Amino acid sequence: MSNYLIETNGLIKSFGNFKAVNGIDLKVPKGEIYGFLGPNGAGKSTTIRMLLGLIKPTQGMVQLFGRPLKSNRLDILKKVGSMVESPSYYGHLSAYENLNITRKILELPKSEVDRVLQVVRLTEVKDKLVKKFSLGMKQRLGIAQALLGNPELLLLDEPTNGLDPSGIHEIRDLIKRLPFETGMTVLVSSHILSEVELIADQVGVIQKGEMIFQGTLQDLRVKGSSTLIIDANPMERALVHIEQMGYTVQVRDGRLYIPEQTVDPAEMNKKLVMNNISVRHLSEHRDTLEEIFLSITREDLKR
Amino acid sequence: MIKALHIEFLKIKRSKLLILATFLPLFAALQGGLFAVDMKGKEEDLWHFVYLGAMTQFSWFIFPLLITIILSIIARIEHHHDGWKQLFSLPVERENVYFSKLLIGFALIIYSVIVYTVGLIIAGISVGADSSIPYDMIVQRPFLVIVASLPIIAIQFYVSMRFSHVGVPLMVGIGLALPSMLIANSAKYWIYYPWTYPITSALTDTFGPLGKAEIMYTVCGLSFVVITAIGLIQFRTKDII
Ligand SMILES: Nc1ncnc2c1ncn2[C@@H]1O[C@H](COP(=O)(O)OP(=O)(O)OP(=O)(O)O)[C@@H](O)[C@H]1O
Ligand SMILES: [Mg+2]
Repeated sequence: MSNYLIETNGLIKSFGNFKAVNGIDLKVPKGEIYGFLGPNGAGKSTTIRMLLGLIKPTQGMVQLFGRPLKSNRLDILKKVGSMVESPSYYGHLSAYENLNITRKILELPKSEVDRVLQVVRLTEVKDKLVKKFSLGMKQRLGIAQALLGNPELLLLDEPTNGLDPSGIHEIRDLIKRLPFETGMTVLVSSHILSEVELIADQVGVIQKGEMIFQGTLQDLRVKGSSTLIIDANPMERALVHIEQMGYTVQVRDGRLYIPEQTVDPAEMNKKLVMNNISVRHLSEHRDTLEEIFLSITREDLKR
Repeated sequence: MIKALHIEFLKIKRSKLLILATFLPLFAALQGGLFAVDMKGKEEDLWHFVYLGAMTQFSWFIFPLLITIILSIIARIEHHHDGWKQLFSLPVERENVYFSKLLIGFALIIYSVIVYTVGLIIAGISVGADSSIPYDMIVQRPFLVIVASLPIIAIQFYVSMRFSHVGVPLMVGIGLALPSMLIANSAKYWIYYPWTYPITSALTDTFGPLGKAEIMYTVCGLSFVVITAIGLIQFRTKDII
């Protein structure tokens, strides 16, 4: 058995001729937080639905807890809490009654309902009908529902959708705590990297149904490039010198840009100064994770 | 399965279904009472007129309407806010859900018929019909109407579960019930139109199955089994989008 709690092989889902998910190999290690990223329509929700057996893969295989989902669906789902896309709820019932239904299905003690209500701060409104809830409150209810019984695996599809900034913060903190406190494995999807950057150990980036990156955030950072920005006097001589050193240089707004190359800034400075060129400004710009994310998803778009 | 039933019951607890399943049959019984009042003094057997007055309303429209509403609301509870998605993300067997929904539907339908018969008895007593209640007519026949409605129940359940918009089962149920009285008048074609069966089984004097009772009840049983099975097969494998 591998160490992956979620493992898919060549997962494909077609809607007619359109492949919403096209050959995804998802690998989520046990006890970690996995950020599942991709722009709108990339296929995140479709993938998560397949992980839950809500929709059947056109091809490929889903393994959870090292066992095929197809033949162990009920046993596996007992250990999985989830919220896919918008939260589902019974509007004519109260928050408490909604959670109580899930609690009964999972055969948990009544105290669990109170516990999760507390966790998402809905205790005060637990007897209110859910159709009268605000979007953020429904979202919290959905998360509470997913947390019932402390599942070993938690699948959250854009959990902070519709939450206010403090709510986003709160849920992020909550998710971050889970692996430490309960050993839970969490998969969180989002279309914004910064949303999961602070909590995820691993990320998977999908684009048009294909996985274009999977690994640690550190691995993702390496994919970024840095640019050296120089303002020197006289500019022409500096340009000639740098080009002689073998670098490509762009001139923009009266500054020199040396993109995507490994240049040692200190070394560069020394060389210019030694050639009697005065350096007024020298800085290195590293891509932020967000920029890396945007550039890899954009690159793929062009293909 | 008991658990699944209990859970289904929790879901309908707060809905208006129970009120509806009580109120509509009582309304039909009231019609019977009013009809019998008109006949008072002119006719001997008032029970007969209570029954007739109520059943012309009940078998033709009120009962099919009740079936339509009950089954579409039971399904709508899940369709409405993506309940299927959450339900099937939990460890539940799809067939258990399917059958417990059908059973809850049946329970409500049977409940409404019990209310109806009680209503008929109260109506009869209040208009002063004689003391011996003709149970075979007042109690037995309404239950026979349930059997005659099996195809309607199966079709409505199928449509309700299949289409996420509640308008579809409502339109099918009401649209097909409306012309049933007309078609029931046709000695030749009524047998092809299941919405006439409750009328035929209830108003034997006027319509009667004309020797086709056996065919009718066979069709009822068979179509129910076949349609329910097809519905289940589709339901078990369908993608929850
Ligand atoms: N039932 C369906 N029929 C046809 N196409 C579908 C269906 N469901 C999803 N799709 C398509 O599959 C693609 C992936 O959709 P999906 O909902 O998985 O994206 P997503 O990554 O979750 O996007 P978002 O960030 O907007 O939630 C989209 O192009 C969508 O239009
Ligand atoms: Mg989505």
